[in-house]
Amino acid sequence: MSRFMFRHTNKSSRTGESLLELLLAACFMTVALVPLFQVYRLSRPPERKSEMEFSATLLARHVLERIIALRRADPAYLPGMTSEEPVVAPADGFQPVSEHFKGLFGHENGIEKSDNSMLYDALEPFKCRIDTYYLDGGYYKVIVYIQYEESGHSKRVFLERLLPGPTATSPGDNQ
Amino acid sequence: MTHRRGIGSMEILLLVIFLLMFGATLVMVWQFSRISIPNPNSETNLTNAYEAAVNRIAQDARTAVSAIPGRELLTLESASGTSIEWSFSRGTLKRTEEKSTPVIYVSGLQQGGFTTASSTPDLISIWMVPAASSEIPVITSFALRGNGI
Repeated sequence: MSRFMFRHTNKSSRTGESLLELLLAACFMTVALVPLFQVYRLSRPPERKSEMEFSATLLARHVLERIIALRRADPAYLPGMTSEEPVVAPADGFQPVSEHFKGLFGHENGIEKSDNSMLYDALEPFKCRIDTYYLDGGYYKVIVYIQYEESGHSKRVFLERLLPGPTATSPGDNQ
Repeated sequence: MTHRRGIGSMEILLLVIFLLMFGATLVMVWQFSRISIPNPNSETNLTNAYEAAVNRIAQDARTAVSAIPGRELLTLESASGTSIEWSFSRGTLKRTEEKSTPVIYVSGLQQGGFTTASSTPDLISIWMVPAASSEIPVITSFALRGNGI
């Protein structure tokens, strides 16, 4: 009888241990899922928040593509820094239009209200600013900011691109 | 006198912890999947259609070496000689590759067109104005890369 009880205790203790191990393993596996889902979330493209943001992204894309087109025509071309400038000529006409939006629709000052009033009105709130930096290794970084106001808050979208800068001349070349 | 010792209560504790963690993980997975589930109106959502069209034109422009831009018709020629047409007609933007059936990317447009500036002939701009006033008009551009840059 006592042998049977001993065996029984041994068996239940073994069952308890294996259950404990199983639960511990399950706990660790569940914890391991957290970084996995974080990685999954980070790998996803950022969610678009509003139509204004989408429009701003497309405008920033226009600027970067224009820079690429200009560089294709002239590999030495590097865009300069600009302050905040409107993307369409404002009604008051005081501020100059960003150079990256000039020439659109064949007009010197870019899109005009007569081209399409809905398009003009939609683009009026956006402003474009370019920041540039020289980086180590002869690279030139261009950051295009498109700023706009939404729900009373100033917001901005930016896209950046690294361009090969002008190759540095070695001191021997100047002699 | 009965003593409940360690092992049983430890298992119960771990079981509770496991169930809590499992529940939290399920909630997290649900949250993530909720974010990734597209809007039920995605197929009719104009912004999503714009996005799909922009991504497709960008792909085409990447391989294009030349373009013949018209007011409502853009022809992109790739280095391999393939010709792709993007056109606006009857409120839609469609893509036609060689002799295949045209694919409509955006519909519900009031107006749309292609434009290019004389200073940047390798830059094609596209603009679209929706028929519904609640949707946004957009404009963006694509540089012809010819598999370069």
